[in-house]
Amino acid sequence: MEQGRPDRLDRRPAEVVELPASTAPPVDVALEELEFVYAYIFARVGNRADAEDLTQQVALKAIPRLREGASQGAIRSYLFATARSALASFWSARFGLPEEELREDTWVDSNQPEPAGESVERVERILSQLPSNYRKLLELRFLRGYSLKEVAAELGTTLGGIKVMQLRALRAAARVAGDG
Amino acid sequence: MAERDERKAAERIDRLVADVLAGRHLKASPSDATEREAIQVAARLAGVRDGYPRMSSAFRRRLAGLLERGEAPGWMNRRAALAAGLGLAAGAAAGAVGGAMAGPLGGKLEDLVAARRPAPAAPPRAAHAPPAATRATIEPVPDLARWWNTGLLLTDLADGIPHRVTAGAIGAFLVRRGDTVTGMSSVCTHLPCELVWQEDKKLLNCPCHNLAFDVQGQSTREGYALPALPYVKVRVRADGRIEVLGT
Repeated sequence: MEQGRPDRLDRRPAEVVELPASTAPPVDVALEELEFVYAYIFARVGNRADAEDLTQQVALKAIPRLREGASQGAIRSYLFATARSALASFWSARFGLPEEELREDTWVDSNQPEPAGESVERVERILSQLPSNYRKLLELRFLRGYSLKEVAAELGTTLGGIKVMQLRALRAAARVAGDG
Repeated sequence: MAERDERKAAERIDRLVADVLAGRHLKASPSDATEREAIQVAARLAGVRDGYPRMSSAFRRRLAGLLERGEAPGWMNRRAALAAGLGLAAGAAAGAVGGAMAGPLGGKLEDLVAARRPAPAAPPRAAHAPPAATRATIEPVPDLARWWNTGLLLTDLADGIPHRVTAGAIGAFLVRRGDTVTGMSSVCTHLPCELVWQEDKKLLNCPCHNLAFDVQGQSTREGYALPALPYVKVRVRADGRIEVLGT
């Protein structure tokens, strides 16, 4: 009559199912790395549409390398080198300037991918060096998602005035970034 | 004259900025080259508004399909394929496929991964999110926030060894350094997996992907590091009791 008693059932060894790591599909691995590449690119182009296009380009270029069975470190280095090259081509195509000129640009020139937090820190450093009205405008518009109309109302100026002020603020931010 | 030119440039830049902020392509052209530094700064500013951006699940699925096939899918236009050098990629792929390959991309990628995981969901985008901070602090909304008694005294914590606690919906690791206690989220900033303290390595390990954080909550990943673990608010009462701000 012991059948069904919990203490008797509890004595049975638990069944452990082990899944070998080698069953993990390689595509998942590549996607993991590309997630970082996407974040890196997005931080530089600022929009989802271009970030997706460029990440896709990097993925396609990397396929032969992935097949070679390179180490994780080598694949990561290759992906980021490819991402930097894709970004240089992106800006080159937009502005009609040679890639070499843009490669020296502070936004794409880096031997190592910077940590995710550094993009934020860099922007914070730039903003902190701007006059308060420029800083406030850029924070509201870019970081808080205000429309230009809302920014104009917040800063007590006209829509036309705020557009000119936005241009001047961006130019000032670019000068600060260039000096840093 | 100069004023009119500036107004014209301001209109143009604002159109570009509006597109970027709406997630659309940056439509800059060679005529914008004189303002390229300003445009690139605008892109950079827009690029930090998400904190830590992730691929959308739809894009991730498309990318997975592309990697599995190893060739340009139907949704990809010729220009994008050419830009990616796909002719070479597809050619190399066709020649490389052999019996020794364990998966669609080849045989040696397994050593990069510890476990399989579900695709991440895109984080919600707050239209009026606060400016991105260097390191976030978890602060529950006032209606829900309350201090939880952890049942721990300062003397219960070993110096430099994280101790896992729960404060309502918030999981945290407490790390004592002398008389100071720091609280940080117990959830990995890559994907929402609970971290585990690895005593031998002195690291907080994410069991989902084998990524890790040190006792300060900083990512140990080389290259493109993960964001640090957000702080969780902690207070030590006069009698040594430790409380954590949770929900």
